[in-house]
Amino acid sequence: MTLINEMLTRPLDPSYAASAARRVAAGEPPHTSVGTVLVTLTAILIGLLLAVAAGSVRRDAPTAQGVRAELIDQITERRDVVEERSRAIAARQQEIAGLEAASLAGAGASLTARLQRLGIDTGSSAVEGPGLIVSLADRPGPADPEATGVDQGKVLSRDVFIVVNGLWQSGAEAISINGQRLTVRSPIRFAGAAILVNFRPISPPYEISAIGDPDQLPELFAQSVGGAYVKSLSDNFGIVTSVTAKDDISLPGATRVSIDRARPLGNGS
Amino acid sequence: MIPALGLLAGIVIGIVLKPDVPIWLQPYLPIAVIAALDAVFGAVRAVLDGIFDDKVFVVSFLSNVVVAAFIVYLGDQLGVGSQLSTGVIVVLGVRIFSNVAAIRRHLFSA
Repeated sequence: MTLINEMLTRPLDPSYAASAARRVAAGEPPHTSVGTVLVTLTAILIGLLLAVAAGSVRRDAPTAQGVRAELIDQITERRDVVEERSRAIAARQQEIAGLEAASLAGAGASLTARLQRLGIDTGSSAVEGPGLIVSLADRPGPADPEATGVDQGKVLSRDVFIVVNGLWQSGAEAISINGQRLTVRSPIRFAGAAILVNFRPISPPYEISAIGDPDQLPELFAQSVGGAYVKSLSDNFGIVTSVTAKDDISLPGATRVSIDRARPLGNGS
Repeated sequence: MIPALGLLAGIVIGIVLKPDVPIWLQPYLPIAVIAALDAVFGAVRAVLDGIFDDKVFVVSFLSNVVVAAFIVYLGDQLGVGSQLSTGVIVVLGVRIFSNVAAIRRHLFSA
């Protein structure tokens, strides 16, 4: 309490009173001039301090904004490059397919059929057929402010690959997620707040399309771990899910199927 | 009058020259500003009380700034920099307000 009383009742520096008393005792006036060199210099210093403090705050804000805008520009620019190259790859693949068909025209139907078969098996060819579409979307509305840590209503990469595994298990023959065809070399990863499929970021809603037997796939998926998981996602965490059977789904071909190093066993040099 | 002109001159110099503040000095700027304001209001009150002393003013300004900066520096080293900054701001803020109240009593007798 002494400390608080001291602070509240005697806010003026006591040395002012002390030096005034000393001057009075010496027969001088109790106060000195306000306009001395010392006071003026200190006043200039204080003004400088105020201006510098205000200036340093003002100057930092635009710099941060500029850096942010630059980063956003870089992101959109790189994304455009990726889009453009993906389109180029798709065009080249089509070109290759055309050339293959042309050069194989004389080689017989069996070879063409085999090539098509391989394209479908590896996922490099676009395919269509009956199947199932499972869609997952983040819980609508703002994130729960009460929730600590991770937002429970957000779809995670784990959710996506449990559904994908459930679909494979239920006899799916080809799967793509938001237009990214899954092949033997397709990872489903989590990077920061984004889900990456085939090393490409995808954004919600996540639409997982699978081609498979129309009579068995929906039923088997509903019974599988994946189907139960989808149901628990919507029941427990408010994630918007839907499972729709469709007669005709078309999936794009994968853009990245080349294998350079792996060789058939026993065929080594 | 002369100190007020000096203050204005200092502000103008700061705005015109725009000196670069080193990064390590930046956390101390707000504290230094609060300490400076405390010294200025204390001085104004002393003038009105008729007991102003130029040496006391300069010394109180410098010691305010140095002690406040030292407390914040110490806090930064101990990991409680923001708490100690808050402490400095509260103490000096209380002083500023009661000095301003005294100035107001002098000027408007209210």
